[in-house]
Amino acid sequence: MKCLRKIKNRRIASIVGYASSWISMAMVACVCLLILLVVFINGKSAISIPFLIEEPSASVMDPEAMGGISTPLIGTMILTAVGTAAAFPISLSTAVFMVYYAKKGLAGASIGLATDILAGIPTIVIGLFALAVFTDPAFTFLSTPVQNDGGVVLKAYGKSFLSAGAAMAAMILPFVAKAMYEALSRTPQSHFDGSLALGATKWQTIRKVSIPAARGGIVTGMILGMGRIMGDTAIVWLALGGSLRMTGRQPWHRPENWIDALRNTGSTLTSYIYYTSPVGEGNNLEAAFGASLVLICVIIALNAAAALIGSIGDSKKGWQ
Amino acid sequence: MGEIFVKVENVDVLYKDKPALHDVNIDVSKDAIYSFIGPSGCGKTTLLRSINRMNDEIPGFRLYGKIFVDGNSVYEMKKQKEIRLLRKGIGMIFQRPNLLPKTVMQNMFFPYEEHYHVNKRELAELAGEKLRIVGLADELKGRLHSPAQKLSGGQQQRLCIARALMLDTKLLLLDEPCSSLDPISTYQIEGLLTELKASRTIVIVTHNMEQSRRISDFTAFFHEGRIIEKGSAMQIFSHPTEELTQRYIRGDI
Ligand SMILES: Nc1ncnc2c1ncn2[C@@H]1O[C@H](COP(=O)(O)OP(=O)(O)OP(=O)(O)O)[C@@H](O)[C@H]1O
Ligand SMILES: [Mg+2]
Repeated sequence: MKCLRKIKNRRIASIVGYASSWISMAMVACVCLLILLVVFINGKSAISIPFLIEEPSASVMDPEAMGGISTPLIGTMILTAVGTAAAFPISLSTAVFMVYYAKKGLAGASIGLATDILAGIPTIVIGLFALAVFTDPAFTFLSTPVQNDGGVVLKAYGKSFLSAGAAMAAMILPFVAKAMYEALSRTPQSHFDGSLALGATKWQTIRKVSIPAARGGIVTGMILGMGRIMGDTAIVWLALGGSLRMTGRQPWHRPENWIDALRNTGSTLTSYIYYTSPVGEGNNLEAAFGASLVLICVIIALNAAAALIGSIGDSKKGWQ
Repeated sequence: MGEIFVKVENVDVLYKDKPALHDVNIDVSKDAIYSFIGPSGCGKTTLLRSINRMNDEIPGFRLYGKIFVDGNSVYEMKKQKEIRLLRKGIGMIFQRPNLLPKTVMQNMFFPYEEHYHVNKRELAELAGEKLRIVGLADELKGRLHSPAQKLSGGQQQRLCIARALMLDTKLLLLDEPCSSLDPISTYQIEGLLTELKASRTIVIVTHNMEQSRRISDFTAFFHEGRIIEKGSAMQIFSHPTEELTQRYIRGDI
């Protein structure tokens, strides 16, 4: 009898476990689908070719004359590119140092602690910090000088694609470095040893054996970091600014003006959404949802790329 | 006994403060096969990897005593360059084949990756010659530019040996090279090693007593970091003098 009851209890327990995991999975899927659905329903009417290729006009509030999202879309790309260019080498060298040089020493422990703390700092604080630092006259090269009537540089303007990109790099550094660290740690010791035994130096081995083997994970980590940059608003608002169009010498898209455009401000899809949302000055919900839809599509495409590259990396691995 | 190629003199090894080898002395004759046998954790791998200084990276590793390879005192080498030259002269084969996820030929060329002056044609010829030695030249005809990791386990391990031979290898260190292979591949590797010893010195760690008996000229039996018995393989397998050795050979420990 007792035995039977036990079996019955166990069966119930397993059914409960199964059902609860199934329900929670279904809930996650539902919330995700719901968000996508709401964004799609509300945003699809805004999507049109002119919406994608025109610059936003000064009167975003007016649905007839609001223009499009070309500069915010391009701003998102530019900011992501700048942030990635800054974060990639630093993250990779941090990861390499942690895996192959720091061992269990003090340097490794302090870098580990520092990245953990950095990962926990809210992005708005990073943005504030960036603004405080990059307005120092020494950082004029990142943005533009603010001069008095006599032409003396008082301070740097602080807000620009370069400043915001640097802040973004600081924001994603801990996550990207961690992902790269894990990718490198997963590469087999026997290949590392094998390369050393053939007379290669440690550095040659890292370059020719370990990094290529971890390539899939390294790229995936970087792409996930890019997704975070695209989705962030706080840093954009503080370190890039709220002007919807590109500032600086015009037309900004001429190659001779590129550097200048990087040192000036603009917008991203997230700051456009903020601006056109009911809390922003633009207050145009349809435009906000339209831009959200575009942003979500870009991020989904990026994640798909990450998954694809991850699977290519895995299938080529086979290095047990 | 002929000329001595590897000489291990009063070697003690510690990991942190944990002893792994104690007062080990071994003379490995040139152009012969020396096998290390003994129960798990007795220090066979530790000694093998000490010969080409592969333990240097392990935190807390310390070695006392001396090891000579071809007359050079291995632990008196100070410059990294010297250590790398030492390693280049010694081929090392691991438990599992460790080919890179590249083609057969790219793996063969790997030891020359940083030698930009070496002519590709000469290198390909050299690789062909080494592949012939390990018996892969015909087997892999037409597959030289396909992924090395698609080969069978035995082919991969022979390819690892061929790759190790790409450098001017006078000494081969093998750590249980057949433990993941089927009997036929094992047999092929044993035959290959027996051929290679005509001009190379070979040290092999094995858990397979039959293998040790079949291929080695000399054997050392390790137990808890010490050498209990060593000498000619024939002697040790037919008339072991120490009780521990007898028990190990009977399969009691
Ligand atoms: N990297 C290391 N750090 C600390 N201790 C180690 C390390 N490698 C080996 N040891 C210890 O040294 C001793 C000898 O290990 P070793 O690997 O040389 O044994 P082995 O004879 O090769 O064993 P097996 O037959 O299982 O491969 C063991 O007690 C092991 O725990
Ligand atoms: Mg071992």
